[in-house]
Amino acid sequence: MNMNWSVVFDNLDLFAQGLLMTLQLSGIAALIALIGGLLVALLRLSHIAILRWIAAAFINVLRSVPPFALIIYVYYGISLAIGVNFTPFFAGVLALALQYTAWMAEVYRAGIQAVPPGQIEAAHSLGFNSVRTFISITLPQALRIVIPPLGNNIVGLIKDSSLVSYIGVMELIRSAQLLTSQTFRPFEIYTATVILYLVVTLVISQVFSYLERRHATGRDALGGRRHTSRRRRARLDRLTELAVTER
Amino acid sequence: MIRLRSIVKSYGDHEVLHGVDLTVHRGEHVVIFGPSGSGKSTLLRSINLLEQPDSGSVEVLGAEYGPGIPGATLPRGNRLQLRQKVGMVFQQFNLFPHLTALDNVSIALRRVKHISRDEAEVRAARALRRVGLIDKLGSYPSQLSGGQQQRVAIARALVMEPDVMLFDEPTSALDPEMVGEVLGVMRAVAEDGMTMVVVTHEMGFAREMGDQNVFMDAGQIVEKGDRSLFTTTTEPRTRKFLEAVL
Repeated sequence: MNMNWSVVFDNLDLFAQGLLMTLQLSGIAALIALIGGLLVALLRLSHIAILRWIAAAFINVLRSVPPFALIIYVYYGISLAIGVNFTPFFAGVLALALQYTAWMAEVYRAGIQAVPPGQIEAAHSLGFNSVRTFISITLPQALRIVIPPLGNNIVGLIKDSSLVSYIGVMELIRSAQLLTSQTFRPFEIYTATVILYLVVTLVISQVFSYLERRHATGRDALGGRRHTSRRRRARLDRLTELAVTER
Repeated sequence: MIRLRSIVKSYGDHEVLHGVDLTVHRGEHVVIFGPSGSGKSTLLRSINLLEQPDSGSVEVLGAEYGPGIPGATLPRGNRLQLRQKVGMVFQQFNLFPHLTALDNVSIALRRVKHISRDEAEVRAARALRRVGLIDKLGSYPSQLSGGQQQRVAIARALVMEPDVMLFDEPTSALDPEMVGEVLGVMRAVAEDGMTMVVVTHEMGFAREMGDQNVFMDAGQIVEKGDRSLFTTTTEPRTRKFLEAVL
């Protein structure tokens, strides 16, 4: 089989546009899902039964719909039902955001529930109210726990964003299809496409494993010692001196 | 200063406290001891409402925080304010692992008492000096030994300037060689005049510091008394327990 890689290099701008669209699509959807997932998780853990049920129903329904079906359903079904024409981009973002909100809600819920009850008791014993306890004690520890699974979810979201090509968003796959139909060079074009997905995925994984190390505490942090800034160090030294010299 | 009356607490069908009365005076050091499952910790935890009694009165500094006694006319208190006056030290330390020792001790000053960061950190450093950990301000709990962690936990409670300190088996989770340093800090706090209620198996501490020693078994107070309790008790259940632990 003879290969001709110039079809890739001559069309780098097309790949770049496709990649940019993939990143916009998944970036916006990921941002919504990261925030929405936390809110749905809070509803899921609410003291009010009806809110818990609504959140559970939302999570269970959206997790069991195949992403492809959800994209089609949002673009053709929901837009017709409510009489609003969604752009393909909007429908794609909405479908991905909904589905990953559900996945991430379960991740956040697990993370919040993994914080030991003794932490909450300790905060309460110091006079923290429930909101303060959640913000200062539970959430920071839960976020630390959920960093790796959230990273996995974002990688999954980026991969699922390829399905949005079906409704005509010119993202990476759609661009590759178009180029293939003009040049009949599927092997070269899809190889390049796969490599681009690989690069994006690796970058995301690296970012999240950096975050994981950055936010680990004590001995697990950054290969032994947590980073303390020079300013922080100086502040601690001043406090030490103050406390030692008085009285 | 603290008056518990007829405290009843159940978990499901199982009643763990059957109407317990306990009075703690200002400056007094109360030691509660007894076998596991006797309700000691539940009783202690009902003083700062980590356990909400099913019935009975939790009177602290003249206000009612529990369900109350029928006919009593005490003003009702707010549980968040109660907890600012009552410090607590836990068996498992329960330090916040994402915060340094300094932040563990200063966070409640900042977030509950709304004291400025500079002032809160100065007070936290002083409290950590008091427990002998002035060189550990920037350490995270995972970098500290069990004894050091428990001393940070004591500093975290002390820095709020509580009227009373509760200790829930503070040395039970520690390696034997670290028990002494924690008891030493507790002794110093007691000698400073702090009102203390201590659930412990450390009978040495009870004999030395206990003004009121309370023996509990099966959800009831069997007997209470001063230091002479340990030598003069004629109650067979107390004697049996003391013989087993001493």
